[in-house]
Amino acid sequence: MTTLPVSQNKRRVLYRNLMIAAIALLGVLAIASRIFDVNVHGVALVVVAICAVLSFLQFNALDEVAKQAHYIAWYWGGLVALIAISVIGVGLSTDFISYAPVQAWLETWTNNPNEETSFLLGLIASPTLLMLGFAAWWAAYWLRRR
Amino acid sequence: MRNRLKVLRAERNWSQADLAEKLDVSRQSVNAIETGKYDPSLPLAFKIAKVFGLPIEQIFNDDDVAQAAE
Repeated sequence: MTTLPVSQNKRRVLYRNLMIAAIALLGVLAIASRIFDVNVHGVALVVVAICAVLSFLQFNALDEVAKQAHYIAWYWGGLVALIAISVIGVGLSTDFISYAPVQAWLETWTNNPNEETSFLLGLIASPTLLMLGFAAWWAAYWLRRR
Repeated sequence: MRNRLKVLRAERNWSQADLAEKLDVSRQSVNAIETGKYDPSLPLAFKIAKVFGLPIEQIFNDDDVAQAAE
């Protein structure tokens, strides 16, 4: 016997609230690791895995209008972000865009800027831009239809 | 696509939230459909028709057909 709410609306809200709580927990873990100098990577990975499952469940519980907003936002927001990533990539590799601000940022935020941290920055920057493109497009699309 | 959702809702004294609950969608989705910013899928259109107890064509009209009738 399931104890989950039968209503799609209620399930959507439940999954959304659980996801917000999980993301807040990630924030708490990040702060705690800084303050108490403890390794929380394992716990954080479990929370991220839970978030992934919740996002899958929440998407399935969305109604068709909200799903349409996500499809359109991923397509157009993601496309704009991909163009931005490509332009930045080509610009940096051809010296059309200066690498100095990136280097300065790395030196500010990492103790030892090297190839590994540069690679990690690139790895994080690309999906971050995709997320920003998605979020901006989604907000514009959804707010106009509220 | 034009629709009579707002009128039908008002006749029954339902809020957007009431209709959203009956359709099991969000209130924002009801608003998007009602204001013509989103055309519902056939399954949702049938659900709306069922909730109001009317045939689909009495709720939704094609723009061209509606203009021709005016």
